[in-house]
Amino acid sequence: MNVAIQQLIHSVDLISPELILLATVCVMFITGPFFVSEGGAAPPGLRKRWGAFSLVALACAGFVWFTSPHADPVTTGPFRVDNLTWYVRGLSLIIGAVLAVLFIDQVDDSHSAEAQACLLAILAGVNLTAIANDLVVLFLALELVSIPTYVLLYLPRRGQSNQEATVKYILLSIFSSAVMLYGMSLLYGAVGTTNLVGILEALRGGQAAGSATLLRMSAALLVAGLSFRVAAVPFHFYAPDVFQGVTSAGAALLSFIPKVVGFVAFMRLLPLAGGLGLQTPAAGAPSLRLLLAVLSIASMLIGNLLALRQQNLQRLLAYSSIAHAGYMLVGLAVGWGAGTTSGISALLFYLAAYGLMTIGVFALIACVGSSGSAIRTQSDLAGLSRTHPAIALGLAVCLISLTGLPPTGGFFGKLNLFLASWSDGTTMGIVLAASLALNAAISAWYYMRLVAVMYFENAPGDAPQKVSLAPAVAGAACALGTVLLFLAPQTIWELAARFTP
Amino acid sequence: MLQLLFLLLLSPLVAGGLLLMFSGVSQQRTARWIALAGSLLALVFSLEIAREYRQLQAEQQAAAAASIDTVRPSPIQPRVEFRQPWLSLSGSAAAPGAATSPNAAAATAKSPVLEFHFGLDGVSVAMIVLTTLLTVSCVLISWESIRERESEFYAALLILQSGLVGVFCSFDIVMFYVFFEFTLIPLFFIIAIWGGPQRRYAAVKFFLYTLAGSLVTLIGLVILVTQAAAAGLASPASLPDLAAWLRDYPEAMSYKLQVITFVALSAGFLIKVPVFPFHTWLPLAHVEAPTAGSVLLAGVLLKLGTYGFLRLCLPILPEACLQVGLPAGAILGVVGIVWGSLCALVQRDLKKLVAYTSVAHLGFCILGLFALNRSGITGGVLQMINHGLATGGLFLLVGMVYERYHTRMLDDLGGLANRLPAIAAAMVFISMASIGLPGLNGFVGEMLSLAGMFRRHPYVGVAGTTGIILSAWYLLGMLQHFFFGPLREPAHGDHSFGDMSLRELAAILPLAAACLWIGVTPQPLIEMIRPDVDAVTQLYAYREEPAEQTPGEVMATPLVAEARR
Repeated sequence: MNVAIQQLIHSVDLISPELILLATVCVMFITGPFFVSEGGAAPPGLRKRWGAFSLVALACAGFVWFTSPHADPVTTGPFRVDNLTWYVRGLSLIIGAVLAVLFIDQVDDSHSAEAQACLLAILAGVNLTAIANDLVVLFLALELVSIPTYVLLYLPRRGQSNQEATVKYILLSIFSSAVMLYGMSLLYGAVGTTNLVGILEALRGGQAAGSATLLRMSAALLVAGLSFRVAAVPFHFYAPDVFQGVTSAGAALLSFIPKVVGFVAFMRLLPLAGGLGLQTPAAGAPSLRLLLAVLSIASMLIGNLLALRQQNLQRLLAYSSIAHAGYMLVGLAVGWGAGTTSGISALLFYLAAYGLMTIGVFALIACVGSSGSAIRTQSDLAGLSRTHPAIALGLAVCLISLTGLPPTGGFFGKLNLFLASWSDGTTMGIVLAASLALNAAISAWYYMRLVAVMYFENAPGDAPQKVSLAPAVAGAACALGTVLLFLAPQTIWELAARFTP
Repeated sequence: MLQLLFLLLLSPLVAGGLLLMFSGVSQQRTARWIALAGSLLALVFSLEIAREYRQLQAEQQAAAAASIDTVRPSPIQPRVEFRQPWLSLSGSAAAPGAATSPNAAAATAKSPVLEFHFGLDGVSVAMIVLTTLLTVSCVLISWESIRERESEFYAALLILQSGLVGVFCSFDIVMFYVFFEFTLIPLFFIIAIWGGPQRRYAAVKFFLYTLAGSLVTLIGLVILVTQAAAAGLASPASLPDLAAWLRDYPEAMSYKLQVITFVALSAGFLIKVPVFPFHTWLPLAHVEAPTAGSVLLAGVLLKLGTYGFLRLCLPILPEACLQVGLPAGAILGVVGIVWGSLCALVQRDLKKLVAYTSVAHLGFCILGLFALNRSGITGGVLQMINHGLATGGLFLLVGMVYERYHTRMLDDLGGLANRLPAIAAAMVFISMASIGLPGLNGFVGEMLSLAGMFRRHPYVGVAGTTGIILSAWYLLGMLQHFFFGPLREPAHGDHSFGDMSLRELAAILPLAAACLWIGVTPQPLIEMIRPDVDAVTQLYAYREEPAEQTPGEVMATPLVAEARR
């Protein structure tokens, strides 16, 4: 009994930032409705207060995170704290604050409490994914990300397309969860425990030697389920429709949060399939490395080529996010190799850079378009450099960063992936590096076309729209962060490089 | 001197930032004056740098002569440098993979370290002065012709200048690449906003073409850095360290890998120069760009390609340069000279004609650089500077004519010497420099380049000389048609303009003076770049075939003999 209580207290200690977030979520859900009348009318400015409230909660969680230990000895408990946890927590809290600012103006006053609460729950889920040391906890954390996302996407209720997109996302997301759960159950069947450390020990001890096929199947299912989260080809079909249907803030969330969750889960789960040629190509057995590399090249190529043909801005950015999933998969594919630059570190660095640039793009798009005339197509951007020069400049910085050109953080993101894949030394690494270069060139075409529309075409002529402040602040923070990441990348890199799988 | 360099890098940026900040509110007049002040300030800084550099060089040479140095200097040796860590890609110290690795080499493997590594050597000082000189001319020539979004235009111009100066003073391979890429962005805007009717197509073609090339260069760079890091070089991205390391341990990279790296690195440079089959973006970009854009594009941006060869390929990968670069450079150089000249011959658009002369003249530069001996490389570097001065001047003059008549077609214009005597005189002078008339700068560079190539492959050298004849043909033909003979002007339009104004004179005069100065006394310039060229050629000294002393007029030129000594 005593032991159980001690374990409980220890666990509470470990997940205190998440508990702060979840307690705030409870407060918001319970008290939120009392501020809204039955007809749905809310006092004006309520959303700003809820936004401030969630920022305070994030700041508290951030303080606890910042003073928490970077790494604890990994036990067989349900949670583990290592450098990955620390990095991902920081990333999700900081980018989460940007998202919270962005969401202030994106929902109406009557739903603002629920929207901010869902966002905090999602961030808690992201953190729990990184801290999970058990298949069950991992799955619960992934669901803690997914379910509030459904609500958050559904809240604005902007017509048919929004509902259709949300339903599409819900159904496919549940399907992918089921696939992953099946993979986890096969893994459990092969080794007899759900604890990640326990599974690793069982595999090292050769207890699962008889169930190699089972392991292989579970690895395939896990990869499939997580590929849905990161929107990698061939599990990407939902992305363009969903991005088109939801609001800009929702798309910003979808372009970043599921990717973090997916890649963190990849980093936790893939070592469990170590026998399948993750370190070195296994003789006579299908190699997981090869599978990841194929997924990566397919995502890059298909994402970029289809993005070339898009007129709708949100669809274009959806395909761009598919392509970026491909870039990050490069890091994963070479992550367990013998290169001098670690692919996993490069991937973690890229995640930070990618979060800043993609959320920056969506935030700056959101701040120009009001709810009546949101920016939907490329031609809506025409003449932005005349009507809103500062926003156009910020958007150009973020787009240049997505292309991977200096002077932006995206350049170092790509360079690190390059170095990692080339220093891997295998043919696969060389092919991956070459396709990275090829795809960076293809993607320049459509990103630069957006810049060209902003700067070289004249505005359609009607009066300049009002700029909403909150997304502009979020976008400006992202654009500045992108440039800062180029000038002083060392800190982020060191934090990212501390984690060795 | 380093403080001056940082001032030089920052002052155009500050001026550009000011212009951008006040783009909505400022009068156009203020924008031009701020730009002029910023560019003049940069010119003063760069001239002061050049002066201090000469002093420093003299002191260091005296000191080197006094002491017996046992350590061989690296083939790339900046005389002043500033190093500051930027990004060290080290993993965690307790990486389990490194500890248990059976491979002994992996134990010493280092992670790539990137640095802010600014420095100066003779070639970079010369190129920086060229850049700042041309920027002042660009501001002056745009004075009247840019009429919309002026402050943004000048901001882009000044930011471009900073980027170019950055390329020339970077001694870290990644920093070099960063500036190299960064220059694309302002020029893209300059062409696409203030260009001719087809500007957007031209800008996008220019951008994507060069970006595709430089991404291949990035692969080459990644190969170099990862190889050096894997072999345990502590600073694998620093150019001097890389060059010294590969010279001392040539076995660290297999010959095949060196060739692959060389080809990958060259891809971006070949497109940038541009060398013959990759030149198709150039005429379009030049024709559509505003005059200032053309001047900087021809004058400095194209040199980034040849400078890249000189900085990255020649000192670091000698074996590949000798086996692959020499024959390829010889063939592509000659083909480029002949092809560019023939294309220039048939152009009816004056600007396009000048654009094709770039292809031809940079062929000489490639011939010189890949001769891989002292006279060749010296000639190549001189040719870089000369081409910047002469072609920059030609574009300026074409811009002046265009501003008056709003046409550049040979069919519409003729006999302009009667109407515009001063412009005609300047055009004749700059054309002569471009052809390579003895006593003007073009002669020195072309002669040395060809002499260098002649020692490697006499036939290629001879084939290259046809370029001089061809260039005389097309430029003299152009002059004769355009400025002499009966007066022919477009029927419509207002023809009540005067000859060259004082402002235009101020734009062209420094370039013409520099052409004359280099032509008459090339020695100071050659001396400034000599130690750097020597450091590179030492790599090839023992590989050079026993030179047959070919008697003849080439040897007899005291200048050549001097450069060869």
